[in-house]
Amino acid sequence: MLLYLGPIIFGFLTGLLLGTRINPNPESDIKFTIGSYIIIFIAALIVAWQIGPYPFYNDIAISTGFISGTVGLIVGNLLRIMVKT
Amino acid sequence: MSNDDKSNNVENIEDNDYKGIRTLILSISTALFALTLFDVMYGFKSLINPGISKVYNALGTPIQPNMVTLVVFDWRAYDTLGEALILVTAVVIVLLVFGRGLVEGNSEEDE
Amino acid sequence: MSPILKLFAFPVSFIIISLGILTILGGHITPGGGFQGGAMVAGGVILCIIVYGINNSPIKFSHDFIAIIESVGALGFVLLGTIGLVFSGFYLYNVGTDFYGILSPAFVSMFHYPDPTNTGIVPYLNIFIGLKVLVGLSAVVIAFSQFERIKNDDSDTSVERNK
Repeated sequence: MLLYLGPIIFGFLTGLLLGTRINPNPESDIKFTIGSYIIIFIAALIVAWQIGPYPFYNDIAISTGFISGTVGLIVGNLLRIMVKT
Repeated sequence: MSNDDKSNNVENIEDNDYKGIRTLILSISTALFALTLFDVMYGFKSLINPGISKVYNALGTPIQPNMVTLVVFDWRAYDTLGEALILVTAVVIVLLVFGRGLVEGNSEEDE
Repeated sequence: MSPILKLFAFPVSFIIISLGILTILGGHITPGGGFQGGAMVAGGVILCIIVYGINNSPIKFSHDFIAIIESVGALGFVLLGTIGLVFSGFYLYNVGTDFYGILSPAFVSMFHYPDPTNTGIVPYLNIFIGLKVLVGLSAVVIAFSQFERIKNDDSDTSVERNK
């Protein structure tokens, strides 16, 4: 199965760039745990399946730019949490 | 106090005196302007000359499917460069006027 | 802000930022492009700033980050044009699709965006413009939201001086 690499690479890079700036406040009254990030990923998968691919792209039935952007954001967030501790 | 009342009354009388003529002139000039605008739009389709649009439509669609991005970023990319520099200037000026040197909240420069 | 808003705004801002990235990356096929996608990403960041306040916002752009990303965006656009000027004599020449046939095919295939279309450097221009716009609009809102705090600080210092 041949995936088109353009939106995957650049979406992941842009998401990583923005994700390193996200850190939820630890002493706030709303706590976001690892489970909430899994639910965000599942919701983003459903949204990507409903959006559909770009026109003239005939490789896969989801929107790869959207899902790689979300993965980049979550990975950047986890990178920042891991570097701080 | 009474002098102020008398001067206010004099100004009110003068405004009331010229109000009718001012309204008449304003309505006539608005009507003339509207007639000019509608006359431009009458028979507009036969006056348009496509010009360079035929060249863009014939030669551009093998390059990319989106004609708007083709014109903005490929044939006329120099204008988009100017627009990006306008954005830079606008952000810099807004931060200069409203920042007062405390954009990220480093208020320890007061000490 | 009520707890419903605080529970809802952070995950939704992920979706809004991802939608903005989707619009930026599809600038050569779908409606949108760099300017529109950058404004959408800035909308997601501004939602977090308004709901949580400027001090507790999860998405924090420092002053250095704003300056670096905006410079990278503008300089990237200008340098891509200079590549066209050096190798072909025209500024901002689309070196990915060689329209006048004056470059070597090996050099042209270096700029190919991995895609079924054949558009050249237009997706890279969209990405640089998108970075610039998102950082610029967020910087304006951050400056305005910190202006309220400065006004409170000034009133405190004036009270101290009167004493």
